[in-house]
Amino acid sequence: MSLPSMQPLGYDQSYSFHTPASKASGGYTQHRFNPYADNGGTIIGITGEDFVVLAGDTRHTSGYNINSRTEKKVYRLGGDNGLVLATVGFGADSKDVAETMMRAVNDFKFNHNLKNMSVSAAAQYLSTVLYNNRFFPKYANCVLAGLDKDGKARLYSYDSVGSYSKEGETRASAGSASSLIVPFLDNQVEFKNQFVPSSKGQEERPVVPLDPITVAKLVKDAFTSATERHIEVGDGLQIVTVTKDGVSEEVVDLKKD
Amino acid sequence: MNHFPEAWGRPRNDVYGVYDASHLQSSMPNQHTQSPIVTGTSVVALKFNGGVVIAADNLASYGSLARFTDIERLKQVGTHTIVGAGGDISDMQYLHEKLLDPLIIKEEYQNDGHHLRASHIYRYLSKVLYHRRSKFNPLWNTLLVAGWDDGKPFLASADLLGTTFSAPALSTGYGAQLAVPLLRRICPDEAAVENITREQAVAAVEECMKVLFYRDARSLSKYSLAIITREDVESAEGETKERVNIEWKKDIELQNQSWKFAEGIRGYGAQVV
Amino acid sequence: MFIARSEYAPSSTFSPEGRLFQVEYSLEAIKLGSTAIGVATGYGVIIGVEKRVTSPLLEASSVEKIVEIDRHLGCAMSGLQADARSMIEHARVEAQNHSFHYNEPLRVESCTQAICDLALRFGEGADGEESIMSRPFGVALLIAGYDEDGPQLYHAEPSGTFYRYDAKAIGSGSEGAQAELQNEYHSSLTLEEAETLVLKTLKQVMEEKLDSKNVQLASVTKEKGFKIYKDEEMAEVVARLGGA
Repeated sequence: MSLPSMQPLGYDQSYSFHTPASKASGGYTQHRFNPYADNGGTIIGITGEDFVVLAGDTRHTSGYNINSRTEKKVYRLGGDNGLVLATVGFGADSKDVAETMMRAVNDFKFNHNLKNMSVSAAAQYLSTVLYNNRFFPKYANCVLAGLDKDGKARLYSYDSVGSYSKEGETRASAGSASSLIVPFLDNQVEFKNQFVPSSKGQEERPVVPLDPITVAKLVKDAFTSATERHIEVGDGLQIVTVTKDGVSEEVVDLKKD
Repeated sequence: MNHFPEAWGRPRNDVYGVYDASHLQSSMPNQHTQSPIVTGTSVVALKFNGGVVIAADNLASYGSLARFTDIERLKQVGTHTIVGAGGDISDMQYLHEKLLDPLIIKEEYQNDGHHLRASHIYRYLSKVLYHRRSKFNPLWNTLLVAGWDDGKPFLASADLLGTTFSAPALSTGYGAQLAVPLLRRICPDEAAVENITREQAVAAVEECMKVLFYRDARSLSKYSLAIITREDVESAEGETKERVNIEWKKDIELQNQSWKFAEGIRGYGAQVV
Repeated sequence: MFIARSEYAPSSTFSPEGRLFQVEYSLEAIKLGSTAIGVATGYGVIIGVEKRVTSPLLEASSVEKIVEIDRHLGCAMSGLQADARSMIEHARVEAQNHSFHYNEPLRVESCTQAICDLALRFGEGADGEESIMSRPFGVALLIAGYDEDGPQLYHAEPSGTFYRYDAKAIGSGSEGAQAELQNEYHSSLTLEEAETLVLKTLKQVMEEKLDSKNVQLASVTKEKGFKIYKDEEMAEVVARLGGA
């Protein structure tokens, strides 16, 4: 979903709490509190066969200001269930959605004799949370990931009112630089516009699941490129990997300019 | 000289185009608007090795009128925390008098040795602000919460939308444009905090207050500054315990001002070059 | 005024001996109910009830003691059937809510837990909370279902306690039936053997002569979910019993 606040900021950029006065049809000037802001940043998710990676930059912005260089966007939803959620958009809504999910995952465990919530259950629950807020949407673009009961990687991505695909995706990206990253992932994960060399462009390159090293490289390449071309992306890169052995996290540097 | 008051102090028409004054002469009834009335400007804060320093001037403006010049915008909350507020002063007073003071009274009345630390106060305030924005009835403030928490200095920001973030150098309002870049010169990241002494930190914040007074028309040369540090005290039983110490400096006047830079400024106000 | 400590005082507070008479009475009440039996096998769960067709003029098919909760959950009851209706209603809503929110079927244990959460909401109600019932339920349930952990059978009492069983009998004939189940049950029963075991046990404890009209069977399996036996299917199983 394209949000008005996600348009590139022009020279009229101002405090997030300042709504430019607008002319109503009656001819008088209207001022109104704007409950949303755009805090920039980008997230991506890539699946392998039996592992999944979620990553997000750690820059937090308001207009041209960098509020913080160390705000993380990828959250673990529970202790040992391997569920991870990345959210981007309006920072306050994003954190609220993440906390709602953490609470839901925890409650589920206590309500079902310590059984962990499955990734497909969490996916459906997140959709209902977002959809229930559709008349005052959470401006949070979410990517949810985990392993299903067969150990297969699952990745779901949402718009701000909860639309998602139950089949899941192989890759996803959201946030301010997603328009830069999505075509890159299309090409490098789905092998779009790649052909078998000997076929003279007749036979598409077969899609195969990627290995962890390739995925790690893609994630870093995607973000270094996005950092070059988008002012709201940079500072640090939080990479969270889910495997059958658990969830691991690393933070690497991005350019700070 | 332009004799129409609404044009005073505004960008020159020949340079910046005609000012849209349509909102000044409306025949329609006034709409109820939600915007801050009496406001405070920047709050500046910086972490250093062993503590945090935070400062805010003593001005409460009514639009461009410097209405009150003795307003304290830094307030101690409990034992570990200073909350600095920019934005609407009455909302700040509501936060303190109706929410934080009773909260601290309730906590301290337990007398169980437990105190609400900076991160607790911060989380509480963040939730209040987000809840109020979600009811379309915001508390029009940007807050810095500075203090001592779990063996480490604490500094974080929360605003009227419930947006929250943390960094070793923070400022609200104009300070975000003018002070934060200066503070980041000596404190680019969390790792740099341990190399900053208390004296360096205080000097850097004082310098920021001066720059803000030079360039922010809603600021004042009189300000308050608080330094939160930790100290070890020996109890009667001979145990060493951690205690949080808050040192206040009130009614400070900016020192060593130099307005030489103002000479070269062109293009604003009534002057015709 | 001194209130006599009568044994029949309808009270949901503790007696001086530490007993809750209302709950104990409700447990007595279900012993008067018709017999219901459940047997869990590795292939599915069979539940069966005695219908007590008290008059030749009674339409036997209108006696409904086995009901569906969800496609993978069924339940047999013994006791006050009217009370069971609100429990079943609650369980059905809970099952639908679960699949709406989580896109997966409700687990058998969670369903049982949800029903039992309702069981103790009688009496005066906690602080500020409106009580919804003046007395405990007068019905016990056998909840049969299939989930990711396989076929399972649970027994839920009016006291709100529940246990999982391999085979369980409730109602007036439960004592004799439970003994029989204990002798006959083994973990490698097939579904057909379980059908026969349920009917055979019912037959032993029923006052009337068992026929295909005065008993009802249902099964819960992975493939077909909850299935209540049709007249022909009942006739077939009863016929098989006669031969055995």
